Amino acid sequence: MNAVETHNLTKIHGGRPVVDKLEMHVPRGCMYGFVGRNGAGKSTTMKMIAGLAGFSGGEVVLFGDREPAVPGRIGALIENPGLLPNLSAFGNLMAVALAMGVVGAKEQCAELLHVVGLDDVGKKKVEGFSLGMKQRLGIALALVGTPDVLLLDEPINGLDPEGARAMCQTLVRLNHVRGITIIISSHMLDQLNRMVDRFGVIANGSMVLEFTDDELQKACNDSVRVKTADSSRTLAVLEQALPEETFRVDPDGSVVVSGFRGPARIEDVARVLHDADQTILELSAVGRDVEDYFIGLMNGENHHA
Amino acid sequence: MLNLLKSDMYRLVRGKTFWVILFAFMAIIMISAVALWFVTTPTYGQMLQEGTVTASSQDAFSSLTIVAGESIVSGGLLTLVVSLLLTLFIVSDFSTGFAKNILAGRQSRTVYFAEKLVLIMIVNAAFVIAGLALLQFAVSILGISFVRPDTPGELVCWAALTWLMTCGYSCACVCIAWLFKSVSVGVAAVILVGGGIIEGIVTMALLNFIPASAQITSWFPLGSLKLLVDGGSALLQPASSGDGLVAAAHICITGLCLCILFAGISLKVVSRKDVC
Repeated sequence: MNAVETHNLTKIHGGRPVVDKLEMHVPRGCMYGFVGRNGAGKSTTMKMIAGLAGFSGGEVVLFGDREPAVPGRIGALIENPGLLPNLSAFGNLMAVALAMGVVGAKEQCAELLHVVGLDDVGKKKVEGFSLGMKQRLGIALALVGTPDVLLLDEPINGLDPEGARAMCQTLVRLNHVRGITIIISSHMLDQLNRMVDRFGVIANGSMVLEFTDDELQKACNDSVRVKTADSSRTLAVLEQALPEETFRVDPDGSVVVSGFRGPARIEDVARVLHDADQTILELSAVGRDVEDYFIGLMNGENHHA
Repeated sequence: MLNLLKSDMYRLVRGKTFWVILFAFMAIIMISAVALWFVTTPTYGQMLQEGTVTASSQDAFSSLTIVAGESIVSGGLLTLVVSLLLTLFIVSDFSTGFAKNILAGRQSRTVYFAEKLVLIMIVNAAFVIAGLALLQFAVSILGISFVRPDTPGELVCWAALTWLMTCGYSCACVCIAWLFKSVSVGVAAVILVGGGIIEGIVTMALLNFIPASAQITSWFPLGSLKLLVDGGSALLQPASSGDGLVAAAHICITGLCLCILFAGISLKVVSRKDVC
């Protein structure tokens, strides 16, 4: 069962669709990377899923339920953490826990401070917190009431490398240990790529493509580079044996075969050249830059289509 | 809703704003009581004989509700103080983004806004009761006696109607602040609406240009506050507006209309707006 699904989700603002018939499918227990340019509609989509913004059309389905009867299954940190500066970190958590009617509020708040690594500064007023501490407290606030789904909008932004890494580790731990489904948006594709197991790419308010981490790896390893003693003959042999693929000869005489769906196909190239008695000097799968791949998708190219 | 109320109470008593405003309110009441006591001293009598001061209205000594009306209701002190506290507190949910934590997860927005209206009622009741209690305590300590003390019925009726009117003003200020989700707009609303400035200007303009509009302006909330200044004993007398109703009924109708209007806007319009 999917934890979150959206069908034809639409938000019209100022007469223009900010989110346009968006289809999103987030399996239960997965860590979902939501990627898109600034203004693509990521935050608005997250707000609609969290129930913070109304939608002009379509629907949000949570755990198969169109009208969730149990509120509080979603925790969210969208845009910036909503903190009360005059209260301590513990006070902020308690205010939310009391509002949600959490049983054993004090114990849960203390535990959450520990989970996000703020137990030492729990009694300090939030107004003196650094950006990283505020982000971590924002995540703790989103975790009050033990939600099943966590929506995090740019939680790593503005953090130093060490803080970003600690944040990522915390999120991975929450996903693995507590089984929380996490939808996370970020421009830091490198960090995101290390954490998530499913991606959704949004452009101009519409979902361009959803794919798994494995599919991403395959999509980025879509070329094979081969160097032989006779590049002209190699090209002719490959074109005849693999008519569905595309070929390019680089200035150094290497032949680049594109369009393969996985590293296993490198064996096809090797077999064809061996059968044709070609001496292989070099043979390798060429990895495509993940960032380039995402930028292509964000520009509206659908590489899987 | 009870959980939301618990959370708000937790935040309210841990914030500085509540204590600063409560302390200022109590200080003003004490100053009023001391000023009243000063009028009874020989020094004041001597100043009267020397012509340094002019005699104040003896109505001020009639009853507790008249003293309270003069000191905390007249001039909009009570409405201003409570509306300021509530507006700053309630709008901080949106100015800080804290409301996102409460409303994320598809919590009912209507329940959230309804709870804030209940909070407005509770805080207003607390301030009216605290104001009257402190004033009674102060006049007792200072040895001031009233010519015609309020009966318990008059006292309760006056307190209830004062509460209704201050609730109406607070609802109006909070609703305006909610519509704009801005602390600055909220503070401006407290000064202009809670302080009765806009009403005063509109009333003056109407009476100047359309003298017959007195029937309309008497139904403005400010008119009801003026009726409260006359104290608990005047509540069962006909209202000065000449509408044939006793003052209590006039105040009750005005207060209820004010509360219903702004509570309705809050629940029907504000609750449908996006949270952030």
